[in-house]
Parts: sequence; structure tokens; C-alpha cells
Amino acid sequence: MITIENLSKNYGDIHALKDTRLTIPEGVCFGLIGPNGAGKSTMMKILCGIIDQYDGEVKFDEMSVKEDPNWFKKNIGYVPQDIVLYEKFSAISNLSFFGEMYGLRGKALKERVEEILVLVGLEKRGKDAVKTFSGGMKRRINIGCALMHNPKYIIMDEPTVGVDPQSRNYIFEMIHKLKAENKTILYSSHYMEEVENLCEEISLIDNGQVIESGKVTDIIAKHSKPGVYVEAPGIEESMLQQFGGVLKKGEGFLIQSDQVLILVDALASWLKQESYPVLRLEIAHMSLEDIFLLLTGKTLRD
Amino acid sequence: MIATLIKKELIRLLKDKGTVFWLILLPIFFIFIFGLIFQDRDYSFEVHYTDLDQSVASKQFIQSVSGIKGIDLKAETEIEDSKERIETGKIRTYFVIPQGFESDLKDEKSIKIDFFYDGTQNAGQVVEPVRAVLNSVVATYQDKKIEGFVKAQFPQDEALAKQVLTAPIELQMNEIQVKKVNTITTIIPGYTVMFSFFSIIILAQVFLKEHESGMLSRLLSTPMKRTQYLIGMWIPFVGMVLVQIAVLFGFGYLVYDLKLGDIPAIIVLSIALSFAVNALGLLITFLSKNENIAIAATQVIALGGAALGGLWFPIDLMPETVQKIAVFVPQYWAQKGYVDIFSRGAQLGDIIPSVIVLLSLAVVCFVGALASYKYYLKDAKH
Ligand SMILES: Nc1ncnc2c1ncn2[C@@H]1O[C@H](COP(=O)(O)OP(=O)(O)O)[C@@H](O)[C@H]1O
Ligand SMILES: [Mg+2]
Repeated sequence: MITIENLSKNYGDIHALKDTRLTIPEGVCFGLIGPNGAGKSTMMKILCGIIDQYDGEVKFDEMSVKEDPNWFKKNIGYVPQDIVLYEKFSAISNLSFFGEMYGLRGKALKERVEEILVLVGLEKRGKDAVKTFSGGMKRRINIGCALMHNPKYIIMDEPTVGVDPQSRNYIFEMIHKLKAENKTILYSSHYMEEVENLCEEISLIDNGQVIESGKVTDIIAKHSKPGVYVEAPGIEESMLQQFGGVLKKGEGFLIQSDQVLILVDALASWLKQESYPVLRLEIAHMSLEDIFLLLTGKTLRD
Repeated sequence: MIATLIKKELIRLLKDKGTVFWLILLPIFFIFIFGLIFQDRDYSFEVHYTDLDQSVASKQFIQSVSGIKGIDLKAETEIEDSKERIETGKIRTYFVIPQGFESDLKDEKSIKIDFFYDGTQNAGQVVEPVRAVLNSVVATYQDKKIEGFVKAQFPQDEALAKQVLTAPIELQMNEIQVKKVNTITTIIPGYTVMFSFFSIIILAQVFLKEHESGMLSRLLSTPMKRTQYLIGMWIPFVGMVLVQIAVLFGFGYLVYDLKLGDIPAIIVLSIALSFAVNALGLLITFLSKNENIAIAATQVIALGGAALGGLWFPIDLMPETVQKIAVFVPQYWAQKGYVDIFSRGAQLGDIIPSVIVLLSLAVVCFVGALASYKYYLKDAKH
């Protein structure tokens, strides 16, 4: 279990994290969701010991990180947001280098390199220089390097950014395998669907603060209200407010109501009366992304 | 951990073609070019003459002139033409042996050898040595005449004759055996020392690239300690400069017949130089935190230090103020050490001042680098 208590980090005037609290249970895949600049990477770097100047406390299994940083480091695999590899080195050399940094040597190292190459699906390209790889392949090696020492905790910072669909599927498969091995995974993203599919628990963060946190189903149950989605060229948010809470979604609007049939009726008469051309009028439920918008007033991506 | 970092960095340096170019090929190119320009050569003076007598005696005279070291005789046939060539500055000196040289010599008549020379001021340094040579040859004829006369006067008293004939002043020739100081024994260490400073550019690039790419911060997530990173990344550069020095001196030994001298002294001095250069490199890198600034600073230090430290011209030829400044330049001490070893047979004990200066610089820079390392780490791209 990872416990984060009152965590704050400032970069000069920028408050990257503000008094954040979070509990990440053992053996789950935990999603960190937030737009760019929310503080996800900062939190992850504190967890894996890259940033050691901060306020607050981070505990792994009730033990503070500050007590014995090296113990935690041996048990954490960190996948940085950027691809950080030695481009002129082969995939095998990169994996071996990181393995050696964690004390692997000789036969054990060689075997682990082979295992990881199979896991990331690059066993045929092991001897090739990383600079000859596609972006997606580099991403997979980037993840592989963090897994060399078979860590208990895996921290992945947006591992699918700029990745082709084939590599993306490989990465999801890898994560499923890691989950089957009962690893604790912290996964950040600004793609809600990814996190909904992969993670049992999530945390929505914005402006350095945790907005909401818990099981995906619980969060949806807590915040999601039924509603009606309407799409008709010419209508504006202000016109719809008479019917209830309005969220802009795609080309249309989502209006919340507990009594959706009455709302559909009312909207239909209004649209007819004002003679707007209606493209869509349907009963809808709020997605996680809608909930994020509802709670922060922000979309995850611009 | 340190061993892993060293291994990684050495392999990477070897894969990088820039390393070999900057540290080995470029200095070899410079050594080759400047070796050609400043080739050691024996200066000789060209002297032109016409022998109108063409006798045994005149040929003897010519032979005794041409037998003198540094004189290169050239026979001419046309007197007027040769004089004109002096006028137009094509040749500097010219003499004519008159007709009847042999018979006049036998008859002990006075003989005039016409010596023509370029009278302009700047020709003096060519004309004067030739004039002196001709005079001394002429004087031997006078000596012979006196000798004949004295011996004729005192046929029985050989001791007296000898005393009269002994010159009152004589130059005693004492050649001191100096190990060959030639251009090559200064050019090779000169360019080696100069280009050893270019390792700073590579060091700065490698460190700053890891700083910018996020590699440094990624490595900080491993159990690696911060000092382990510093040492593991630094040692390969110390080794790289040592290899550079070995290759360049080996090149000098094989191609230019450079006499190396005391090997332990060379090794100790080279280690001190490599420490100094790379400690300075760390300091520059951590303070500048920017590749372009680091490269500019290195170039100022490498080129300025080369000029002031006597890597390009022998320090004795420089103005006195420059000579005074030179002792504050590390390149001066490295160069002095190497030249002493190569050309004066200096041993380890003789180059200790150079070693101390270089190691002190290394320590000062390293302490400075350690002090700024904390801030450098903090700025690493997170
Ligand atoms: N090294 C840094 N120096 C200054 N500001 C930083 C630095 N790293 C992050 N920040 C700022 O901290 C905030 C959080 O950044 P980050 O944790 O990277 O967000 P995320 O990963 O969620 O996109 C942003 O405003 C970012 O500009
Ligand atoms: Mg980020």
C-alpha cells in the first residue's frame, strides 16, 4: 500500500502539488487522471525518489520513504513520461544497462533481458539499435527497462502518449500480465477510456489537488446523473439552462435530470416551437470524462 | 554501479565518431601540418663564382671554400650577367677568380679576388657570413706564407718556429650533448596538450545531454547514489584523455621518431593533466548548464591557454609579459613537463612542479564542481 499524506511541492511560484492525500491499495492498477500540468508527473517523481525536496509524507507499507530511500527504489520501477533510452545502443544493451543498475549480473541478467524482450514483443529486434525503432517500439523498451528488476511497484507516467494502435495494444496486454502477477501499478493518463479499462481505482487530479478518488464504479455512481443529450445547430448553453444542469459535450449538450422522460418531452416541444433542426435527442448517462468536466469545469484535452 | 556506468560511457564514447575526430584525428592533422611548416632544416648560403683561371690552384681554392659547412657554391660563366642578377636581387653574393691566379700565386704576387655582394641593408645577414668565410679562406693562404717564411728563417730551431706560429687566441670548441630538441619534440606535446582540453567539450555534451533528456533523473530513480553517478560518468573521460595522449605520443614515436624518455614521468604527468582537464570540464559543465556556453568557455580556455602557455610558439620567443602570465596557465606546466622529459631527459623527480600545479588545479576544480553538483541535479529535467 502506498500512502501519500499532505504532499506539497512548489517550483518557485508554481504549486505543482497542494496538500495532496491519496491511498493506493496493494495489488491494484491505480489510475491518475488529470489534464496537462495537473501534477501527475510531479507526484510520481516524488514517489520514486527523483524529487526529494517536498513537504508531506510518502509511505510504502507504513514506512516513510525518507527513512530508507534505497529500499524503495529497489522495489519501484519507474517509466518516465519521455522516452529515455540510449539511442545508439541496442534494445538488449539498454535493458542490460538498467538491469545492472539494479544489481543484476551474468546469467540472471541475460535471462531477464530475454523475458522482457518477449514481454514487450520485441524479441526479434533485440540486437538492433533503439534509434531504428518506431515511437511505439521505443515506448515498449522504455517500459521494459523499468521492469528489469521485477519491482513490486510499477509507476508509469503516460506510457501510451504518441503510440501507434499496435504498440498501444501491446502495452495494454503487458499491463494485464503485470496485474495478473499481482503488481501494484500507478498509471497516469489523460485518456479516460484507457484508465476506465485498465484500472480498478482512480484519482481525478487537477491543479495539484485530488478532486475525487476511489473505485471507478463508485465514482460514477456518486456523481453520474441520468440526462438527455441534445444536438441541434443554433442552440446555446444559456438557452438550455431552464431545463437543468448543462454540460457541453462534443457538438451538443448533456442536460441532467432525474426524470428523463419528462425532460425529453419538454425539450422536444421547445425545439419544435423554436424550430431548430434536431440532429440528436437521446437519453444518456454521464461518463467519467463528463464527471471530470462537471467537477473541474475542464476538459482533459484541449 | 560505478562499473556499470563506466562501461556504458566507454562504449558510448567509442560509438561516437566525434570523439575520435576531436581527440585524435584533428591533433594528428595539426601535428602533420605544423611538422611540415617548421621542419628542421640546415641553413646553407648560396655563393656564386666564376673561375677564369681554371687551374689546379684555383680549383683548390674553390674546394676549400665549398668544404666549409653551410656554403653552397654555384659556378657561373657570365660575369656581367651575374653582377646584374645581384642588382635585381636574384642572388646575393658572387666572386671571381682572376686569370693568372696560379702563376701569380707561385710568383708570390698579390692577387685580387673580386667579391660582389648585395649592399642593401636586409641582405646583410646573408652577405656577412659569406664574407667572413671567404676572408678566413684567404687568411689560410697568408698563414701558409708566414709558415714558409718562418721555417726558412729558423731552419734549426723548430721550437721557436712553432712558438711564433701559434695563434695568440684560439677558440676552444666544446659541444654539449643536448638531447635532440627539435620542432617535433615541441609540436607533438603542444598539440596533445591543446587537444586534451577538447575533451571538456565532449564531457559537457555528454553530461548535459543526460541532464536534458531526463536520463539523469531516470537514473536517480534507481538505487544509484548521486556521487556514484558523478564518478562513474567522470572516470571514462579521464581514461579517454590518457588514451588520447598515448595514441598521439605513439604516433610521434612511430612516425616522427620522437624520443620519449622517462616513461614513468610521462605517465604521472599525463594522469595529472587528465585529472586537471576533466575536473575543469566538470566545473564548466555544472556552472554553465548549457552546452553552447560550455563549448564557448572551453574554446577560450583551450585556445587562449594554448597561445599563452607556449603550445604554439616556444615560450622563450614570447614577450616578457606573456612569459610572466604563462605560469598561470595549466597548459604551460603540462607542456614544460613534456618538453623537459622528451628533450632534456627529465625524470619523474624533475617534473614534480608541473605535476603539483596540475593536480592542485584538479583538486580546486573538483571541489568547485562538487559544490555546484547539488544545483545541477536539482535542475535536471524532471
Ligand atoms: N522542473 C520544473 N520546474 C518548474 N515547474 C515545473 C517543473 N516540473 C513541473 N512544473 C510545473 O508543475 C506543474 C505540474 O507539472 P506536472 O507534474 O508535470 O503535470 P502533469 O504531469 O500532470 O502534466 C505544471 O504547472 C508544471 O509547469
Ligand atoms: Mg506529466
